[in-house]
Amino acid sequence: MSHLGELEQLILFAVTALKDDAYGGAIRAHIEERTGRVVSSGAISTTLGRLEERRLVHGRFGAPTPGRAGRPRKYYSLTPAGARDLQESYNTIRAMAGDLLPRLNALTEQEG
Amino acid sequence: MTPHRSRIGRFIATLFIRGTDAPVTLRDLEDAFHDDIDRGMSPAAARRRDLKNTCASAVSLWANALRPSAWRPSLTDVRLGIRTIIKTPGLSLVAVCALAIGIPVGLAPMHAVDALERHLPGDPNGRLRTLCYWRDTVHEHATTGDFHLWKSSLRSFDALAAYRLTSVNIDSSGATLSTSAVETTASTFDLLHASPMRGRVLRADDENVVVIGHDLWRAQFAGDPAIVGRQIRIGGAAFSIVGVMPQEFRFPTSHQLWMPLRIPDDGAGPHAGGELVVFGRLADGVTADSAQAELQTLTSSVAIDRAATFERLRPSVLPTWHLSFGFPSPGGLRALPEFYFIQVLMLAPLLVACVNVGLLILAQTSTRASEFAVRTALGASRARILTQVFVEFLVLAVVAAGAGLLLFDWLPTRLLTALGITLPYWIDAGLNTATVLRALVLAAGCAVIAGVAPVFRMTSRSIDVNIKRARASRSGTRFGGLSTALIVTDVAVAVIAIGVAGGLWAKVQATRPSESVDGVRAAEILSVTLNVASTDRQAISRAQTALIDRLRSEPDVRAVTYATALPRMDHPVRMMEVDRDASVVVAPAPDAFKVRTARIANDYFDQLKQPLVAGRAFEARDLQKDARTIIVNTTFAQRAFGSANPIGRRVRTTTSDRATAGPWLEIVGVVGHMGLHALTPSHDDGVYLPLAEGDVNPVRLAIWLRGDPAAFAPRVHELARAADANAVIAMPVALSEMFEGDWYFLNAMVLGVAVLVGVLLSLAASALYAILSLIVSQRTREIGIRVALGANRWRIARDVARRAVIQIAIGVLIGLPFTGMLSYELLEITGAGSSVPVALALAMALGLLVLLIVSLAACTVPTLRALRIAPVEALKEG
Repeated sequence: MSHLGELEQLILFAVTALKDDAYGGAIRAHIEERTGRVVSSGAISTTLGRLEERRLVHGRFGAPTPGRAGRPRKYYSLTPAGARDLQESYNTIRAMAGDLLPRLNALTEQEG
Repeated sequence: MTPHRSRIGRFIATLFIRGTDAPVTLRDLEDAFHDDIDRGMSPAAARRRDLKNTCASAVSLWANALRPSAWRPSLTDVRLGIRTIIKTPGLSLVAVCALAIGIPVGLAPMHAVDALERHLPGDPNGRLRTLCYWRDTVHEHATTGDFHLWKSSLRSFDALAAYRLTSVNIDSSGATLSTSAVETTASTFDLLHASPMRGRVLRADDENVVVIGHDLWRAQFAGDPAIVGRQIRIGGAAFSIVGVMPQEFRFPTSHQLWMPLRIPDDGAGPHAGGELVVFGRLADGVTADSAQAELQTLTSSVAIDRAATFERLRPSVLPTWHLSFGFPSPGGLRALPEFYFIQVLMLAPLLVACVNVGLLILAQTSTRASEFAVRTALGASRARILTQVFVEFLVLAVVAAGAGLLLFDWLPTRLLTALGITLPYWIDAGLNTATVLRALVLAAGCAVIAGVAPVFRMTSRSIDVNIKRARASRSGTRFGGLSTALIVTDVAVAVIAIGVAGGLWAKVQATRPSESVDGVRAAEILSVTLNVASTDRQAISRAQTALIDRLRSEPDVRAVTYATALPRMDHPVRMMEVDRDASVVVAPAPDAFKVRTARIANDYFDQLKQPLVAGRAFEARDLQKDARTIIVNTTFAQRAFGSANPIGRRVRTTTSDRATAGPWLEIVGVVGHMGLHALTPSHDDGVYLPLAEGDVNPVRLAIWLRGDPAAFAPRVHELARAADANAVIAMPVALSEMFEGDWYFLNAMVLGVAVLVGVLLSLAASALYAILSLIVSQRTREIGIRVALGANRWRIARDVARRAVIQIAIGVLIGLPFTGMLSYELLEITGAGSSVPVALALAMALGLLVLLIVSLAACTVPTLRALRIAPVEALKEG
């Protein structure tokens, strides 16, 4: 298992959620919609490149779309290794955070 | 109507979002913008978000490209590098040769400074320091007065030692040897931790004893095992040899004889008495700065009544490398801005070599365009490809650096030996760790400039563009402006180098040994250096007079005179200013003149048969203490006073910043130009000051003979010994064959420039050939189509060659003005000879012819090959 950074986790979740429609723009929009975080297209693209190098996602070019200077979209899908790593990361966070949520909520309310 | 992204955003994206990931990222940026519009965002707000997204994306892409892990090389890269060298032996050989010469040249200045500015053997921590004075930018030795004062007063030093250099005649077993010697205090041996190989070193109470060096012991005394206690005569007095020093001890430079220095304390005080070189060991816990402060305080307190003397005279505690070299700054060469200028200048040939090798690499790597395109398409990042190319070329550059370092280790010692130059014994001109590390840094720099830069350009486009270009590699010119710029620069640099080398070479040719020097019959005049081993002015004067009298009584001698510098010798340079208070309007001229000076005997011009143009020669009254007279040459008179009469006008010496000046001197005579150094520039200003016998030791004698000067040299030795046992004759040479520093410097420069020009020209020719032939071979398809359409073959050939000729012509036009300026500057410095412009033009023409032939051959060979191919075949090649 390889360690996943926060942005890498977010992207892998987005790829999983978007299924066959996971390209850079859609991943960016999905993250922004679900988390409110604005991530640049370049950051998404380079992170996906690194994940592809580590064989956690698999990339393939789509057909060129008219009106976009013939530039193709690159679609990504999760590999079994990527799914395993993401699951491990998710389990780790859940194991750590599970029964602490009420306490965290209480602390946040106190601050408010 | 569909809204469009902002122009600024698109411009930034085009400019900064490049490389293999660019198309996907650009598509994502467009998608993000249109998604925002689709979600109902106003076009203005969407553009603002798009601009932000574009900038952040550019930063992310570059940060990703520059992350260290992207550049990590592997052993495979090294293996690929070795394979590339083996696969392209011609290119590798040219590149290695070019860099193997360029790297040592670039390393030379810093290595020389490392070698010169080092501590003495036995003093690894630099605790030994020399004590001396600085007057503006001029180093001055300490005196006997200083030594006694410092020895009794300074607490910053454990011990002080002093020495002075002299020359002696040694009589042993009926043979006489003239050699240099060191009069030194016994503490010198203790400070240097020097032990004898036989007998003992000097003691404080020694008199009439000497310690000799290993080489002198072997050469003069045949390695006599019973040497200790043996009697020899030095300057007529009996001395006993008490010890032999080991071969590696030759303090202070390459000396072989050490005698006790006896300097009674006469209470002369600071900066008074005879000159001495003083050095000492810093006491425990004392720093050089605190020793400097103590010395400054001491000098200020004892010299309170001599404030004028010490106004610009600064006592200094300096590293011991100041013992043997007259560095122009207390901080050494590294403290001079000029040093860094020279360092940059010496790196320039390496840069030019790199550019040329880069051209060759560009030509070679263009054939690998398909390989890079395919590897990119298969997922290799740009950083990965650049890393591999860098390592490949680094292997080549390291091989070149290794070869260069071997050359660097081997050449200097042999070169110095060939030139007869003896370095101080503590200087090691061989390789050191710092030089090796610098060589590796230069090799890495070369790998970046010559190897990575071309490939960086080739991989700067996206995958699809790279593939398209790779597929079209044999049917179109892809170098465009870059190749033109490189070829033009190459030709311009070659033109400049050829011009400068040609000018210098011609200047050396013009200053071969000559029968006469500006009217002086140099071939008939023997020059010798007379040194009297004494500090007593009367004794020196007596010895000089006695020898001159004996020489004049010789039947073969026409005339004898003496001076500090004779015609053809390097006359020292001083700054001089003209009295502006005079009523006569002087010629437009600078306020201060750089003049060459010599002190001469009263009969100097008369003996050398050089009549004065105006005024009179020096007379006995000019030697009086309060006499302030000077004779100037016609060049100086013309520059300073124009057509006005210079007799009676006043001049004085000054410093370059004109802060201090000597007393005013009245011009009493004007003499013609007499050759102020071997290069005999007719435009050098010169002045002469009077010199009495005994004033200067050693002094140069000019002996005008009826016969062969070389044959008379042994007789001068005999006469000197007969005149005074302490008189030592050195360096007998006919004036016509006299060459000194300026001439040797010019020769060394010519040799260095000639080697560099040869390398540059070969590189330029190889690079031009490679790039031009590649460009032309890429036009095979075009040529095939034109032939198929019925174009005239000669017209096609002419069109192809025209481009090369235009590029060369532009290079020549850019290079020529620089050549003119540099040549003019050099010829101004070295003095112009009449044959220089012709030789310069010939050298230029020859160099340009070589470049033109190479370029035309580079165009013609592939063009003719393309013309011979049937049009159908040529089209297939595309």
